[in-house]
Amino acid sequence: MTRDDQDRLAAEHVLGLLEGDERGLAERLLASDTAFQALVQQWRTRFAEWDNTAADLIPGDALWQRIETGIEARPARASLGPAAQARRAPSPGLLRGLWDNLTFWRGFGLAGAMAALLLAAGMGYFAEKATRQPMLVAVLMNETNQPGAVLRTFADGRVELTPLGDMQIPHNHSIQVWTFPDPAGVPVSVGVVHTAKTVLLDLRNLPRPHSNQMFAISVEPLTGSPTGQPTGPVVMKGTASTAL
Amino acid sequence: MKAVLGEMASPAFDLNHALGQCAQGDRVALRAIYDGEAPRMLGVAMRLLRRRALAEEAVHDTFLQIWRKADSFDPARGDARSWLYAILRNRALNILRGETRTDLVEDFEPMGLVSDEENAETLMLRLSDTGSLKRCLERLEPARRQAITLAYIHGLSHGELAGRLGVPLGTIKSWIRRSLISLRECMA
Repeated sequence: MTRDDQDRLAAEHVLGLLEGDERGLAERLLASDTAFQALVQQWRTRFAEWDNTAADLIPGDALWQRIETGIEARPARASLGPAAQARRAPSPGLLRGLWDNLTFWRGFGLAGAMAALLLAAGMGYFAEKATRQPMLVAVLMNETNQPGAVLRTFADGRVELTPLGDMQIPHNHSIQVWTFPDPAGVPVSVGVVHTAKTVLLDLRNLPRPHSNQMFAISVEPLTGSPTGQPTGPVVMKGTASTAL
Repeated sequence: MKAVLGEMASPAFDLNHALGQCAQGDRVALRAIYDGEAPRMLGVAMRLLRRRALAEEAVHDTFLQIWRKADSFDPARGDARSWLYAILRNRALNILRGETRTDLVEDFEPMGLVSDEENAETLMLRLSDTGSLKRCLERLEPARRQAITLAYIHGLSHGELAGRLGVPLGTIKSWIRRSLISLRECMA
């Protein structure tokens, strides 16, 4: 795709004119491609003057009350850590619905809610995943060079992590999965895991993973790394290979 | 005169800062954004969705997303206001394209079509003389200007634009593409 094509795609995305495959393509690029994000931003800025021509309409009091009720149903995001961000951002559909239903879990505390979210997502996709073919598989080796976990990536951007053997998460800690989309760059969080069982994570915010891409797991505080980079020891790592 | 300009130029509050506060869980900051932006957002959503209940729905969903995603807002990647309106437009366009399309078509008033077309030129007049959008739109032929304006403001699809302007779909697509290139060059 030439830069002109990308620019046209960016502009038509901002106009809201894209349909079908092109619409999906633009959404994928917007989630993963910084050059495309910049083109979209330029068009948003160019057209922003139009928004200022809209007549102000004073909303009724009920609107704010509904918004307030909506935000009460959820804890503030700030304390959730990077993994939560990675998973939630561009998936308004199923995950959002799941999240909204999670109001039920509020009383169980943040860690419980996180675990429940992972579990719910896992169960939600369980049937689907059984029939899916992984794109890449990475066996993560621990310090003693034994297989510690298997990570599989799927075409829809989801990632399944299956701990092996007797993997244990230290009390009051989580493990955080990281990957290196750019081998020379910094690690990017894929998700925070609280229980040593198969979980589904989301890579859709990141560039499509490639073979030989490195994945690693570090031990972190319960809510994930506070810095956005690994802070605890790396307990296992491995590179992805294409699944045949 | 200077005093008036000064007053207008000073924003009521710093949106970047308010979003940072939202990310910390500060509802007062969300309310401040709402007080500052919700009326304009409702106006933008009304032009796209035409029905008050749907427009309020779009604004409602937008503020929930602002609350949820405030911590992912990055001032280095674009300004806060543009981030807010991108969320609003996305939400409104999704409602328009996906959820209630048939509903809207049934609701279309025949008279509304005419006034929309007038609006495209009226809207031009409302654009600031000092901004480049107006100057660059003026360079386009009226029908092409109208196509791109109706797409952005009222969310018309390629097919609807073709019907409205009475030209084949392929013509609309090429009008839009050429207009975009012209706008990009003019606004660079």
